[in-house]
Amino acid sequence: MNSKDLATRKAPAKAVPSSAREGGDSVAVPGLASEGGDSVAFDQHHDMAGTYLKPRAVLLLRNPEWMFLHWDFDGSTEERLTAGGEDPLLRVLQNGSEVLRTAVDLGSRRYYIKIPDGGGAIQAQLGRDGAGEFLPILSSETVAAPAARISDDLTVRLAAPAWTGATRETLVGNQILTEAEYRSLFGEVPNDVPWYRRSTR
Amino acid sequence: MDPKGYLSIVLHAHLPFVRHAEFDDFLEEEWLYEAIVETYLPLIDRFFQLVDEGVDFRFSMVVTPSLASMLSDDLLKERASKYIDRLVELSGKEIERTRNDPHFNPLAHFYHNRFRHLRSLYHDRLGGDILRGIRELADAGVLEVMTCAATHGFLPLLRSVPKAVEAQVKLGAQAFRHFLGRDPRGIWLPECAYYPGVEQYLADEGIRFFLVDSHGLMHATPRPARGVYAPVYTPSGVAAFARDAESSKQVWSSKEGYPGDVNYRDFYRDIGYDLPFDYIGQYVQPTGLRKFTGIKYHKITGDSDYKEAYVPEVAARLAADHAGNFLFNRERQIEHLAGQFGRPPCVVAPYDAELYGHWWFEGPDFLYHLARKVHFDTNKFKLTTPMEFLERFPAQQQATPDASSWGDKGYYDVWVNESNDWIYPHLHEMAERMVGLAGKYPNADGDLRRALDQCARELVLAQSSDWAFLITTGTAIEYSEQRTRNHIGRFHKLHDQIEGNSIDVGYLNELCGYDNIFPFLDYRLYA
Repeated sequence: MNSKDLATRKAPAKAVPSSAREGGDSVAVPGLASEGGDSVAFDQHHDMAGTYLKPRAVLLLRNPEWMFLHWDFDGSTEERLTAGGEDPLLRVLQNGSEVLRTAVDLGSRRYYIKIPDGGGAIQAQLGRDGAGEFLPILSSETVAAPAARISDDLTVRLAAPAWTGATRETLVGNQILTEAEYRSLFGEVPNDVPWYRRSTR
Repeated sequence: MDPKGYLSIVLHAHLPFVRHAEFDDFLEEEWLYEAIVETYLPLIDRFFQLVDEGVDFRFSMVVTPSLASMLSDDLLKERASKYIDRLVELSGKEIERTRNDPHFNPLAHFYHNRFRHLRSLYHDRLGGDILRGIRELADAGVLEVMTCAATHGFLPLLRSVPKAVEAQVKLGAQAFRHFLGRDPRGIWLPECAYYPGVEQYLADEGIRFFLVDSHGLMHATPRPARGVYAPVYTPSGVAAFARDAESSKQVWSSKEGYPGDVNYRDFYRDIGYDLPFDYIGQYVQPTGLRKFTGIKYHKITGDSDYKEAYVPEVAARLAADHAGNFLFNRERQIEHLAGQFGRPPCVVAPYDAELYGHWWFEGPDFLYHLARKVHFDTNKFKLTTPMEFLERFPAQQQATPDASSWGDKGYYDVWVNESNDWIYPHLHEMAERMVGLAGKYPNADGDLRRALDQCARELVLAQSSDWAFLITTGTAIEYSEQRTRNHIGRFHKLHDQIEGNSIDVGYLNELCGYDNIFPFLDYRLYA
């Protein structure tokens, strides 16, 4: 490996180049200056709350294949989720249709959800079984999976937002537009404006 | 003759807030001083030189609000000055130590002269204010400065509380006005992390463009007719430019990139690690830990640990040669694209600014030579900025980019995985609580107002994407985790004091002194 292998070697100090995101071996971190120093760090917090006792389910996109769900609950929500003594259920909806129902450990408060083929709008719900019916108790917002593919939509619609100050006059000589592009910007194509007619595709 | 196309180089200058007023020396705080000496000053120096030489050039540079805040901080400016003084002193001692060494003595002189020159630039030309240099270059019309979200928060992972995203963007714009004295026109979405809809927050701040990674635009809907070589307008009217993989790879790639050439300076061999501790000890950590000093005598040489002496003159010529090669490749690329599209393409090449100088020592020289060569040696393309390109070509296709980032694997994996996902329940709770506080206390003043403002500071500091990133990459894990815990803990402690009507003014004063980012911050941002 080259000693200046930017994509895989990490320096102990200054941040790693942000776009060099590949994994790899790292140089040992010499340690924090505070270690072994005389001063006591100001107001160090070590223990984080495991729960805020607030009922919520938050779904976060991770990549086109996975989403991350975290949840929290209070006592009464816990009672509702575990009524009947069973583990609560996680239900995943894809475009409004159920694609997964599985028992989860309520106390884990997190779950990585495999996005079903086709992506689309994903929602996660925590609930329980009620006589064969899923009873949702905590619902996340719906999160769109990335398209992660080249679109089949070939529509070309131009814009020149108002903030650009662009007008038909200022675009003349500035931009070479196809007739279709001209129409998408200004509608009717006047016969006496020849410049737009240059075909580019 | 009109150029066939345009090249836009965007330098992303960013550091998380690593101010540690509670210590005289702190390793992570030195990230700032290293970046000042190795990147920001050399870049400004080279850009000033280009202006003085009458070269018409354009670069874009992101100065993130957290970095701008540190560059404007009196304590950090004073410490930066001392850091440079120590380098001048150490390099002076090195001249004496190496007096009988024919290879290293010229290098000691090289560093001594360099550090003295940079110190003169810092004090005499810039008055100890890096941002002054940035503003001067912006005023000269050669540097387009861009802002970023306030603390580099990873916006797609904050969006469950929309105010959290809105506040990051709004505060980023406010910080830009405060530190740079102008309205931001471009924004760097932290980590180029985009999700459809975020652009509305940008539009609300008058921002005209942002950048996404290549696949963010390639997967846009409708399909962009000109691929990544023209911006698209998102539904809010804000333009999205995309990174060109080809030009990025030539600089970034660990295998094919210029910085890996054997004649360039080696990053890792440094006298901070090479020399006996009784000699170098006072220039490394007082705790006894070694660190980089910035004085490095070896070139990359090859893959083994065997290293030969660095020869600056050879490396300087190489940087010019590589600039010529980069120019040649862009000419061919742009000619091809222009022929294909029938109109001028815009090739966008974003890089971390700290690549130039800090990682790739000769990087600022490369940019200098590239700007000169584009100006003097070619009429096939010109350097531009995204905003200048939009002003020149305001009519662009409408499309919505796809969710993406420039991180490993192209999405959000680096910032949410098994090692760092514990952060997000806290960030979401804090954001909700902050919104609650802002609603409950719409017109606070006195200590309550200060406590509410400080709560907002602790929130945005905890949101920095750097902590999750560094945890994932295994770099400074302990620091990043502790930093996150501290901001979370401080937020909740203040929150509880506010809600309990029991603000500890002494504690508040200490917090305000340490986590003093964005002195203008108004908690009603979250109302």
